[in-house]
Amino acid sequence: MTNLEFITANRALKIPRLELYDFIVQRVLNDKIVIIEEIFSPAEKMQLIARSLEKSSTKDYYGFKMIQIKIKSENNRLLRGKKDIQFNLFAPGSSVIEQNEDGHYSVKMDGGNVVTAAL
Amino acid sequence: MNGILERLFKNTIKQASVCLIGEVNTGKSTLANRIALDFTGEETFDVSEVPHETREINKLEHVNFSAGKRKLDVTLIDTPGIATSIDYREFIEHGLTEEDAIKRAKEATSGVVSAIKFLKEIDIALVLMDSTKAPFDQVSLTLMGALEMQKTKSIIVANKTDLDNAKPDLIRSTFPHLKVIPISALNGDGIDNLYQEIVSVA
Repeated sequence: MTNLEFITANRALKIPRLELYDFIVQRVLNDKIVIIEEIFSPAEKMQLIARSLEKSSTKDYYGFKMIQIKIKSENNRLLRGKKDIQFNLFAPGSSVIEQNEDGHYSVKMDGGNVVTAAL
Repeated sequence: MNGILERLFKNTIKQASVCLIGEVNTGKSTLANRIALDFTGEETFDVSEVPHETREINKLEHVNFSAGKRKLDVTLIDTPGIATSIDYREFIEHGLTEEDAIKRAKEATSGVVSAIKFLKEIDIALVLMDSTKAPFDQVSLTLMGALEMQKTKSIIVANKTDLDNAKPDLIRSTFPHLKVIPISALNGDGIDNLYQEIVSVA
């Protein structure tokens, strides 16, 4: 069973950055997928990659896969008239992330589980 | 006073550190060797088909770099390829034993961390991208964003134009506000354009 955790920008901004990095790494280490509303600058993302790899144990944890998902308000009825929103999806490093033709994302986990997200 | 200073420094050659950075297997060490060969007569960087051959930051100092009439005293820096994950099983697929694969993964991991920490020390970044691949990978986009934020002089090098499926224009259209130089580090196509660009941004 694969767990998916969603964190809003409001919640993420209340957590100190280093704690937030460790939070993401810990979740991914436990085979979870984390979707977080975009709050990181590119420099912070580089810090997160470094932090994640520093905790890598080579055999049990290989780091993470990361993609950015942008939802345009014009394509989404709930967002119409509002701003576009962006998310970062973090999945275990051993997983494979694919974007299907219908625009949905699927994450194939190492154990064979497939999680599909329609955002 | 200004005239004296001008005469004093007229003949000094500007120093610059030129750092090759980017994702894994984009041809950083091949380009570093091409530059080293052109200006020192020797290839000094290790190249391999197995990913993460470069696992530590390698420097070649006092390279007498020139393009046109401009000369530079360059420190050429080759860095480990940046990745968000390193799976030791990939190295086993390239023929390494499990023990060697795990050792290589450990070294590669610390190499990536040191490359990321080194970003702040770069004068000129040559950001290598593989022009046979779509440039939408988060690592390239994040890396470019980080370099732009810290105002590092950056040139995107769209490498591997010798391959049939190379599409450097796709990289140009992804980064329309940045200088993109298509090259083949392997056969030297476009390399003079890159050298001109390096001296013009230095």
